[in-house]
Amino acid sequence: MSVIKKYYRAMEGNRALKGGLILLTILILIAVLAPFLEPYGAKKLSDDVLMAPCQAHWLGTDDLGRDVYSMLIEGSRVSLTVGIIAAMITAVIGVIFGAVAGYFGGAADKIMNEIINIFMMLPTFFLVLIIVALFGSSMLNVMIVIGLTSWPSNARLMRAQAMSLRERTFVRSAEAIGESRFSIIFRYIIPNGIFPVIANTTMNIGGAILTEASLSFLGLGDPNVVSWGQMINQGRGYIVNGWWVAAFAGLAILLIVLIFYLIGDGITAQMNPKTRRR
Amino acid sequence: MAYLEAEHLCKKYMVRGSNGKSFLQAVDDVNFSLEQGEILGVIGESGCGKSTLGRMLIGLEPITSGRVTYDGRKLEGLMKEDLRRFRGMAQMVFQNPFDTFPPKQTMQNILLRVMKIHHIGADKEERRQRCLRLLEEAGLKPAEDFLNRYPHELSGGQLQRLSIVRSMMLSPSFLVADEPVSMLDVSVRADIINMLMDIRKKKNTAMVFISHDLATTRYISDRIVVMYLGRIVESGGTDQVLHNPQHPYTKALLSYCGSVDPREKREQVEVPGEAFAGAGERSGCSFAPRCFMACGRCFREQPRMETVEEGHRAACHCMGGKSKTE
Amino acid sequence: MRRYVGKRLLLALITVSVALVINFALIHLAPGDPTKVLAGNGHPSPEMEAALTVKYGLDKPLYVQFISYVKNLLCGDLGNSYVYNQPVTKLIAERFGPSSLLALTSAILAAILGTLLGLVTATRQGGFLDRIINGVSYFFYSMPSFWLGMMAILIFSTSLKVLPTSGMVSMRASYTGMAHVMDVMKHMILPAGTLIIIQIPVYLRIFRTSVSQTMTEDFITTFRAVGMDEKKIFRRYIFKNSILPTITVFGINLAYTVMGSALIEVVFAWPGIGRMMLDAIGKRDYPLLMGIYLVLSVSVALMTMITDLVYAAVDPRIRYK
Repeated sequence: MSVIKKYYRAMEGNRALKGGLILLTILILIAVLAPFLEPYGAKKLSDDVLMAPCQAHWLGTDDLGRDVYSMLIEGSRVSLTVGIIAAMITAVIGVIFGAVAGYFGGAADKIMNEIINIFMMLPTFFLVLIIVALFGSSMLNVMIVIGLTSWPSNARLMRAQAMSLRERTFVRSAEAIGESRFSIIFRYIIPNGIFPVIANTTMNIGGAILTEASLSFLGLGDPNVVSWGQMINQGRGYIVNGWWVAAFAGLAILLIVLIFYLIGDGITAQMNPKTRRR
Repeated sequence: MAYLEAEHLCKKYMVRGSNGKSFLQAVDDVNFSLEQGEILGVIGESGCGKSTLGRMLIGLEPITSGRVTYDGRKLEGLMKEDLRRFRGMAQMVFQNPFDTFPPKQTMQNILLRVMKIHHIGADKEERRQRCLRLLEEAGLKPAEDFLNRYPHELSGGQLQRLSIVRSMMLSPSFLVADEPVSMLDVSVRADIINMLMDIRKKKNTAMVFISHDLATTRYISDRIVVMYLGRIVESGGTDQVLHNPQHPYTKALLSYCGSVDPREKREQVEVPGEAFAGAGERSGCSFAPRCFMACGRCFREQPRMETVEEGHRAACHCMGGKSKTE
Repeated sequence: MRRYVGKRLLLALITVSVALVINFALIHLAPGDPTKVLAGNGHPSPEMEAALTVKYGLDKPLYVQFISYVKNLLCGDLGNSYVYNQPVTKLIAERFGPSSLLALTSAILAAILGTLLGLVTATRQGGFLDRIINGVSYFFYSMPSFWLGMMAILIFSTSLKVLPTSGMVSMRASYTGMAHVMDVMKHMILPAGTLIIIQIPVYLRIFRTSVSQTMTEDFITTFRAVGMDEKKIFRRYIFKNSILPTITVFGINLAYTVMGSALIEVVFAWPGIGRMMLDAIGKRDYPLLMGIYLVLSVSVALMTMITDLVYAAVDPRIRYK
């Protein structure tokens, strides 16, 4: 309890971070408790087709009579899962790659650095599209592919951290004590250099959610789950007389991505001593 | 054969300038030997290569050329054969006690980890007991308290003591102390120095004590080596070098340091300019541009170490009052 | 400088090679027979299979296959599209223009406008205008581009009827010369506008951060202390130094620009490469897909290289590293 209080006080004045975290907590609660919060099942078809927002259906219904509000709540699960897991994959790959490159230096680093540069130049979104098209569009595939294509930014950050950390006395003294290089990377370099990566990963969650939404919009998402991008795609067909489906789905995406960007920015501001007290 | 021998040690750094590649000679042809239980003091200004030398001796910095032997066995061989055991044998105490320990771990974690790596002690509890004992012996009481602290909660003196305890846990036969007291308050320095001397007495550990402070070095060292821009310019017994300095640089250093022997009257020696380690080849003595005794030969020919008296050598063309002019 | 250009060129070449290898690997890793992938068809006839096998040497070891793949590529043969039944090269060439028009125009305008807005907020940090612009910018940064496009169509085309709904040219009339240009531009307002609004926040933030960091540097304080005019300080030192990250970001953003404009092309039925690619995916037109991906990789690599060179021209420090 005191740990939470300590962190809360440290965030004094950092409205972005505080607001973001509160909203995130609410969001996670919604996603977890989804089945209890949906007034109607998200997949429940009904005869009330394309009804505008009203008393019975707060956000209207779609062309199959499904309640938009319920669908939005259900869709939060997909977005959160894909976003977080994809970003985690990105973080793990990027951090290890960057830490190894930065700590070892020399020829290995030169090569690894160029690999990072090359990867950043490849149009990864299309790679994602092709892979999903070829290998199937299950949610698992989507998560893995997004994770495998966005790690360079984390790698770059971690590499810079590793390069500056390896000159620090405590790293040198760990070497003197007899720690193996592997050990040094995982016990000393990564834990001490991870902070900017955390901020970046949070932004990556937002990015992953947008990518997933784009994929679903193009019809390449998992057809078995309710996804907001998919809703926009479907809603596009009847945008004129059923605008609420696409509109609210898009707003939902906007809000969830906004939350993560707020948190990411908040963490960055927190780390910078110059902007901490505002 | 001495316990530790350094022969023709050199360290070159490649430097990329705006007009192509060049190199920086950080350590140039360093030779010395050290016996068990002996403390060698290394003196010089910042940038003279003494820290680099210290790191080279225990394999933390790769050697460009030359060799280091322990009891006749080459450093590279020892490291390749069993790196961990070598590390247990040769330890280092660093200049900055505030940064020596990883910031987010407790002292218990840090110290127990060392034992774990080197398979000292059967289990966590036994290691902990050992730790407590060592801390008490080092004067860190109550030991229990210290174990639970984070590095940022401790003072410089305490941290440096802990650093020494950590190194000595492995019972090394050789210890490099790289300016161990430079960042500490003057009042605390004596404690640390005494601690080191105590260790030497009890465990017969050979030590290299690196410093830019003559007073402390004199107190602890048996022999002294004076470095300038990567080269040894004078070496010998502590008293020999400090009471009968031969090299102009040593003379200049001593003239500034009144505390060595306040009874002796010394003239302040003027040494203009700053030591600048330029990249590239150097011809002639590296101290010549600032030397008050320099002559033509000094700029052309690199002086070699010559014996002044038994055990005392210096590298200067113009020693002993006779200036070999040209 | 020459060395730097050489290095950049080499890097671009390597990137394209990597894209090539990835392309090749994908064809062979995809579940199913490569012939089917190459034919674009799920069930090629036995004659077709035999012909394809000979052409691509599919019965030969992998490295030989790779070499013949590359040879075909160098001759400009990217295969035939299944859906359109035309050479891929021709299809891409037709659509390259419209895509570039949309993508580059919006990228450049977004960079300029974003930087200008960043300028406004940087000098008025903490002020009312600054907070509003920042808030709105957050908003658009988090927005899915295709959704914004759809909403724009809804509002401007369907409801207000001021702008065309889709396409690059009006279907019924056929204009030439100036009228044609005007027509295209009218059709470009919404799609380009959407892309620009989505990208502005990126440039705004990077410039703003960069300016606030430069402003706190010691050398600026020195200039002030000496008495240099504030505006002059800004123009000569702060601006020039802060613009560098913007150029870098422009380069990094190119890969994303391509993605963003592809989605917009779908929403607005703009006749570009991105849209064709997305259609091809839906129809599993593999030869077309591979070809487009390759062309895109080359374009992005080239643009990135150009951006790097511009950066080096502006920042002399890079040249000497």
